[in-house]
Amino acid sequence: MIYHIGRWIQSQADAFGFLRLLNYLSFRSIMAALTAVLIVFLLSPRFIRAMHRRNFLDRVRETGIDSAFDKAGTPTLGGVLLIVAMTVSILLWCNLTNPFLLLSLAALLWFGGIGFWDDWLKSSRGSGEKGLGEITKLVLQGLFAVAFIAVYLGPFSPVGPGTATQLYVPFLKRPLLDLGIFYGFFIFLFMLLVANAVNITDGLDGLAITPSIFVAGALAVFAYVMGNTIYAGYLQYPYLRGVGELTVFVSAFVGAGLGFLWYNAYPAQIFMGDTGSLAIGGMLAALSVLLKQELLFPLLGGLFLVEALTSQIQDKIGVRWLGRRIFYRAPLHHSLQHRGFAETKVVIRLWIVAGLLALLSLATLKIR
Amino acid sequence: MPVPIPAGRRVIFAFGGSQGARTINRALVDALAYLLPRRNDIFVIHGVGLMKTPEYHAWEDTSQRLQREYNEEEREHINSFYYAQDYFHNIGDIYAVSDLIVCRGGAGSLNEISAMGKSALIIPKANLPGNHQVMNARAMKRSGGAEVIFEDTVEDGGILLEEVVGQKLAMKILSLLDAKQRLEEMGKCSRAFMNHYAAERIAAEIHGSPLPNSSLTDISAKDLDPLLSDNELLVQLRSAWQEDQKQYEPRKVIVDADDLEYYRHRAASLLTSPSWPDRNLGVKLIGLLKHEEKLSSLLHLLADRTPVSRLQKFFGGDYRQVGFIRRNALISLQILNTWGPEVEARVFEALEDGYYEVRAQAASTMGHFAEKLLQKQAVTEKLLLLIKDRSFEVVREVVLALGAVGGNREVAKGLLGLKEHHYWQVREAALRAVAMLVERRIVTDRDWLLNETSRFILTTTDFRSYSDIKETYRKLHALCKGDEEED
Repeated sequence: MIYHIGRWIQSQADAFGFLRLLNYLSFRSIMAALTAVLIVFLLSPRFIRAMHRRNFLDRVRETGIDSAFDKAGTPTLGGVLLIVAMTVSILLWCNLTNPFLLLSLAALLWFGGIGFWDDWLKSSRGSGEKGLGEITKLVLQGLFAVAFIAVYLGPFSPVGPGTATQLYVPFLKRPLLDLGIFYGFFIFLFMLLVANAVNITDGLDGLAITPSIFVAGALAVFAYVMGNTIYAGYLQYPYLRGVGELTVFVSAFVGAGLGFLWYNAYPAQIFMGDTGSLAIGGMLAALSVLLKQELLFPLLGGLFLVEALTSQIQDKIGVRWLGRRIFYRAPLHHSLQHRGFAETKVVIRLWIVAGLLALLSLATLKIR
Repeated sequence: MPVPIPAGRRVIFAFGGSQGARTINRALVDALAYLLPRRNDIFVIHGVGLMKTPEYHAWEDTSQRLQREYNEEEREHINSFYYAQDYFHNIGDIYAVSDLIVCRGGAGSLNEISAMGKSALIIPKANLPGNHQVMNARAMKRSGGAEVIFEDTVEDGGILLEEVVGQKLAMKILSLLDAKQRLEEMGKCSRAFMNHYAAERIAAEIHGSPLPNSSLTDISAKDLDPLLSDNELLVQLRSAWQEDQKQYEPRKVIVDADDLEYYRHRAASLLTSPSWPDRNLGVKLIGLLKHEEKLSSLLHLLADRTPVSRLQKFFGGDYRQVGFIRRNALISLQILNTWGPEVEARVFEALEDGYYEVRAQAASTMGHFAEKLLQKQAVTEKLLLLIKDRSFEVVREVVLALGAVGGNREVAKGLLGLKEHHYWQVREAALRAVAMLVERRIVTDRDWLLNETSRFILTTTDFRSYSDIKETYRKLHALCKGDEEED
């Protein structure tokens, strides 16, 4: 809003030339982050109290990890806070006609909505097991993925119809091949996988939010580069007109995320719930696709991927099919806890891993 | 009267519905051997049933069994108190002369028996939808009109069969016949069991008129606790067990003795299921229900080395009795708390199992039965080898077992060698095990111990248990020093 009002005022009189500042991504990014952080700080204490009063507390699932039982009774739905802060900040500071921005925001809100429904059911039915069914969740996510693909591959694709179906591989200068229609299937699976991977990672205090910030931050760098003709040309990336707006979007997320971490750090006063983890997952998936970095995600978001894979392998192959455990416990963070690491130690070590992976990923900007 | 019953005999009528029941037919033929000595004061009428399928031909199977099980002389005696017929058109007459009726738990049979006011020995058919025969049998038994025997599910050459042991059936029949007073009371209760005057009730309902007999008001089902599903049963039993392992008794959870008996049968039948999650559930329930008769089945599962498909092997599967089953079989052995040479052999084998949880549980089970293993050098040696296991969970359990079983200074040396082990859980277990050795007076050289243990790494990566290892260390030192002062 501020962006649009500022632009309009500028066009009215030269005296308001200083509002040119609003044209700069860097300025708006910083302001978006600060606004989001401020909103979270202002709302959180009240929000947390309200959640306690309404008994909107986490119902813990039986995981066999002792410390998980301590966590029952922590308010959940922190994701709502995250999404509200982000959305307000984005509405204030972003160019709301930018298709990249609108698609990313839609992913955030849609996936957040699914998570919210799930959280709501779990809390009102008083059980960690009785949320939305797995199938219902996947169908709802799939619906968005289909719509997203339709826009992305359609004639009004924000990246341009020619670029949309190209498959970019990290460390290679040129797109590997044009997947054509199969690209749709590919990103369909990709979106579902990534969205749920963050959900699975969200098992310890602060474990999901910080790595998400690292991943989103790295993607913001890509957005900045690809949205700038000079950098894109220099680093030989396809120039995507307007994609730089995603830098502001991600900044709002980083701000909201840091604010959330303030309360979510061990011992947590609030959890993001499925609302937060699915929203973040959906957002990261959309960002990766929009920036043509789907194949970088296994490296950049390697932590999320390993968490998701260990969990699925343990459950689907080990426990249900073979009748044995394949890892001591799953997902990864529970396995580490089982090996005798304190929760904080697990979380900080995995932050470090996520940070290193983000650094490695940024190296692909140049090493190609 | 179509059946020639000699005067003064007590009459038993056994039948499994119009088609016949394999379980009842076979059990009855086997029971005759035990009823034989009473041939002068009882008479058995057997309704064999009309079933003639390729799987089971009621009449032929029964007569063949009689031929096979008894010699000519015995058969002659049997004929003096046993009469078989495939079907009775006049079943009312047969009921009328019977003192005890052995039958299935179908609603039809029980209604007839109740209408006749006869006492029943019910063998409900197992594994039916909703277990309705079991529910019927329980209801009638609760009302006092019947006794119940449950059938076992056994595997016979790859085919699943339900069976009741003949001797058990015979003993039950005789004990009921001999308690005349009780049998009479059962007959009365049986008559009161069903809701009679159905036509009058319906008429009264339609016309909105009062019931013809004021004693007919209660037509609600008899109050009975619903049967628990296997999973519900598991949850209830396990929470009781976890609450107090030493005082645990399944009887405290399942108060009704018949229900407990039934659950035991059901758990046993799970062991024969082709799906491993069912067998696994059965294994857990056998232990928690303390079904000691099935101990050998547990041992059998542990020894079963039937391999799984190649595909499953590729992903890490091993045997048909999957890792969880083997691990839980060991836990159940521990709950059953019965030790013997065969149990020992299986647990000893399990120490070398390919799956780490089984090795860990085997070590833990060894520790549980430590008293029986104190003199066995082979066990200690085997456990000492396992200190080098890949999995820290195994090492931890092995170390604790060594503390309970170990009988010499070598064990202590082995344990002290773990002072720099990567996992603090193992180091903590080692200190605890050393303390056990001191308490058991296996190690008395305290100065050496104090010196050696002082080199243990006591820091941990987990604040929640940070105190654990230091606490154990302090206790051990207190123990060593305390002993010193005593001397």
